[in-house]
Amino acid sequence: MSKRILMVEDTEDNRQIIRDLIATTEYELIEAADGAAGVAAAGAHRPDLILMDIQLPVIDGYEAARRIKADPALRHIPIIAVTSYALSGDEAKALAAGCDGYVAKPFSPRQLLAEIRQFLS
Amino acid sequence: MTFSASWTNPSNITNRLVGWVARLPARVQTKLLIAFLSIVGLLIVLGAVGLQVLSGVNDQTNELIKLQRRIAAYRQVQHDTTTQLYGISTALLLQDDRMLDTELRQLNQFGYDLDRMEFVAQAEVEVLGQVRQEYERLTAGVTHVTELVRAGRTEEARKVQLDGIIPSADRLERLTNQLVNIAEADMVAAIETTEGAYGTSRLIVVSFAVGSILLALALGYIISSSLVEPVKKIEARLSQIAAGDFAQQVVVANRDELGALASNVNQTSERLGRLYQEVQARTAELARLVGELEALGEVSKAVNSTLDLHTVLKTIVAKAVQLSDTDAGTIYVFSGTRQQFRLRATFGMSDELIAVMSDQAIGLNEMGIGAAAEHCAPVQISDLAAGTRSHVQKIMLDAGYRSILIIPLLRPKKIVGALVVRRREPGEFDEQVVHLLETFAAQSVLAIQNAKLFREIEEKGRELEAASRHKSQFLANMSHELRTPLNSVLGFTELLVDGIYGELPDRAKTTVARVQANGRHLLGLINDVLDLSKIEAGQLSLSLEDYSVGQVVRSTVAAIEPLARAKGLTLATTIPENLPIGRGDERRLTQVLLNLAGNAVKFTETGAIDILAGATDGHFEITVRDTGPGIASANHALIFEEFQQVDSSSTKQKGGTGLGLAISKRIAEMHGGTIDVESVIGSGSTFRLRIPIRVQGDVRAA
Repeated sequence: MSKRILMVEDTEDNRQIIRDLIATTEYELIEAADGAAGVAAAGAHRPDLILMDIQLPVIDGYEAARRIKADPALRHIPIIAVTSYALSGDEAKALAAGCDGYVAKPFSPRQLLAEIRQFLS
Repeated sequence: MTFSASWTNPSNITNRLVGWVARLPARVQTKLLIAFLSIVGLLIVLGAVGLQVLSGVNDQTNELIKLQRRIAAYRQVQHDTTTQLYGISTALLLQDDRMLDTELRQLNQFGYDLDRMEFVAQAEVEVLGQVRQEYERLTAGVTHVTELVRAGRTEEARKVQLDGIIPSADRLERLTNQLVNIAEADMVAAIETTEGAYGTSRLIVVSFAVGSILLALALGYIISSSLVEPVKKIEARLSQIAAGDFAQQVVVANRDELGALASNVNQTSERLGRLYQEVQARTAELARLVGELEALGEVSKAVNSTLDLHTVLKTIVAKAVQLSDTDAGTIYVFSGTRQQFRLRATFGMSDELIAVMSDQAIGLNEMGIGAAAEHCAPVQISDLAAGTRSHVQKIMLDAGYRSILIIPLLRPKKIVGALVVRRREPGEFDEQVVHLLETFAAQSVLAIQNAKLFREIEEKGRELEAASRHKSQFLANMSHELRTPLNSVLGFTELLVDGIYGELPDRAKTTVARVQANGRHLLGLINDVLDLSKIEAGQLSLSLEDYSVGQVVRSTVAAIEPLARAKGLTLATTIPENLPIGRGDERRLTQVLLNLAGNAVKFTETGAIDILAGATDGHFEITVRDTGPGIASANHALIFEEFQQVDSSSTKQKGGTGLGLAISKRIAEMHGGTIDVESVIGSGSTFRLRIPIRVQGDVRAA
């Protein structure tokens, strides 16, 4: 059974890139367009990895990560925060919210994939 | 009555004499000379009198000597007479012829002696005549007897002797005795006369001597008194002057040097008195000025030390009232929008009056403050009770004030307020007060202007702060907004390059590679601009953590290695073992080193890049050495400035924003470190990053 990745991302173009990227791999991709939907999808699909954008509608990535990590059933799922270079301290905030790794935007799909493989291997 | 009284009183006489001598219009020297000459004259007179007395005494003595000699002569006559008579008697008795001859010769001799008596006195001439007659008679008798004896007529001779010679001899003896007696009586009389004359002379001499002494004493006393008295008076006067009493005059009758001295003392005293008054006036003036300066100093201090307008104006009005010696004061500030004066600060006014005045809107047509504002000049009303009054002035009069002085507060040609002082007494305000208050008014204007400027600056500051916040927000937003599409561009490009959408034709590959390169350049620009604006806004903070310099160098090398290899450059790193663990912002330091090493690779076409890390003296030193074209020393400072590359064309050729070194330098400085460059054209460049091993505290961009 292939591993599942949950992508929480509000920008369609970014979703498309990751979608196209993951399509070349053996992983299965689940998508959510806002923080609340992300938390719901995590509970519903129990993914093996979550890619969490930070600036999201409804609830932001930090809050979503906190909620997921607060759920004993979900807390083991690694979360890679996709942080913005623009706002200093995002990495630290992401780690504080419970994320397990981070990738700075704009990301290189190649590097992101390498990061994903590291978590899922 | 006064006259006689004064003359009967000796001290009055002395005083008069002293006064008279003092008033003599002669010099002191002349007076002393006259006094001494008077005494000398008296002494000369005394000497003359003494001489005269002496010569009288001399005459008397001569007279006495003459008498003495006369007495002696008469005594000789008496003695001779007795001797002769005895000889004659003996010769006659003996009837000795030879003896008689001898006696006769002696008688003749006696006759000659009588003839020689020249100094005979008048009284004795007659007696002497009788002596001569008797003598001649005796001589004749003796001659006759001698002849008789020689003739042997002894009896006859005896008879003649008895009848003639003996009585004659007796008479002669009597007469000579009489002569002696007369002379002796004369002598006694002469001695008595001499004694009388001596007594008189002594009296005269003693009188003159006593007179001289008394005169000398009197002159000495009078002259010295006429000199000493004024000196004493002048001395007393000088003591008074020394004690500060300049009002008195020293009165001296002298018309000599002392008179001149006294007059000089009086003049000096008068002048000193005037000077003293002037000095006192000046001192008072100075004290007043010092007071004013002190007050101005305090006002100035208040104006400069506090931006609270109310406090400043309160200080000014308080000092203005105190220094102008008035009872109350107010500062009004003019509102341009409402065209009204409003009370802003007061001194010496009751709370009720302040409350009443605070409600008063004073317009430009008010006859006091309004007039002062209109004419841009002070206005004073010496008596509020006289003439017409404005409403405000009526309130002031009712509150007990009678006179007011209004100084307009003027910024050139523009009224900003008014300083008003009031007195409970009617009367003009003197020029000094007006002038002083004008100074205070100027200070008030400054304070009001300062406060206004401060308000404006505060507003501007707030606006700037808001603008800065907006800018930062804008930058953050813009950065995000720019990145989002750029993220897509770069993401899709990479997917294209990686052949995810299928193998691309070669031309398309080249084109997509260019798109990717330009996209990355754009991302670099966005990142650099953002970093720089963060640094300038002081928003860039270092996240201090422990790090390994070796790791920083290795990350850098990993990043540049592909490009270096592509250009055929040798990349060598030297990282000593046992380097201490550093504390700093690892990501930022990596950014700096990446910039330095990236530049080295970018600008070097052939040769090698050496990266050398080390720790000395509490600092890490990371050196990046290349064999590139080098940088002229004139440009060594320039390359660290924003948007500067040595050759603007190189930007296009080599890429880069021109911001990297500026950002790197700021990051190094935020760590308390430096970046410097050593380079010679044609011999490559060496950039040296030097930062403290352990950076302490919370560091933000300055």
